[in-house]
Amino acid sequence: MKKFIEITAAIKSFGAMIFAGLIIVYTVFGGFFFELKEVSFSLVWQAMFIAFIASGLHFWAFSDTHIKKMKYAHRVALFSLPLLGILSGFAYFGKWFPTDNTLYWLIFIAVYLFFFGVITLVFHLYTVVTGKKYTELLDAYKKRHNV
Amino acid sequence: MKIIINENTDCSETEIIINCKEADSEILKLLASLKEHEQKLTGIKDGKTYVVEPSSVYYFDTVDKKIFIYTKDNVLETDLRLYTLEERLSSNHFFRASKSTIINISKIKTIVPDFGGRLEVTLQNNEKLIVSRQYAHELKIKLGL
Repeated sequence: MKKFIEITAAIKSFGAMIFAGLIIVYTVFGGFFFELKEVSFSLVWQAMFIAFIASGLHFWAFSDTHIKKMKYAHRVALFSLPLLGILSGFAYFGKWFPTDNTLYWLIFIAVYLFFFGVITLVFHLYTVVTGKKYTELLDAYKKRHNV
Repeated sequence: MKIIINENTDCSETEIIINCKEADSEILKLLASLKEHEQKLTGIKDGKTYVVEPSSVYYFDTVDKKIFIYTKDNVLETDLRLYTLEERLSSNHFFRASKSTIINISKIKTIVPDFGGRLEVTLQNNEKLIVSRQYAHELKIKLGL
């Protein structure tokens, strides 16, 4: 039961973060590029579903709870490809753009890959920089304690 | 130096009292040696009991409610509970990494952040272990962050 609550809490907090991110991206890009003035109620629901599905998928792919010892690149693929499928489903049924036009699909995939690439790169850089800082502190600790 | 041992069946805890003029370097060395002896661990492997120096331990892990000592090239079982080890070795560069693991900081090679506030540590034998979010804070404090 305790584990269930821990998992639920982790998915909920990450889902909330994704939801906020989606709304911010939609508001900023919609406002700047498409002169949108409002967000439809249906889109808010869709964003909420996407956020919690993506959060669950993320937990499944990256948390080690279900998948043990897998390369980071494989985890990224395991998360990004199903997520693209899910988003495509929402785009198709939610009529985000004229779905019979291939060009729109290509733009949709390009935008997805761009954002996914940027987020992955930012996380990678954060990991490298923070990891370097932690390891320097570790070396200083060892030196301080002569171990 | 005079050594006196008083055996008493009513004694509940072994006590060492040193009577001296001054706690000089010799006495301190003796104290260090006594403390070191107290901190030594014993582990069982293939029915044989081995003495293990805490400084040679990479980490302790719990598997099926049994506690194992992991050294560079050995895995030994110990009767001690994880919380006892944590108490005994907290001043010895060990820290709790998760509910089931205690890691020796001096055997960590690198630390990188992981998802959900966790940390991934790589030990000197290239083994990777996870420090759960709950205990990552303790490690950061020990490192002076």
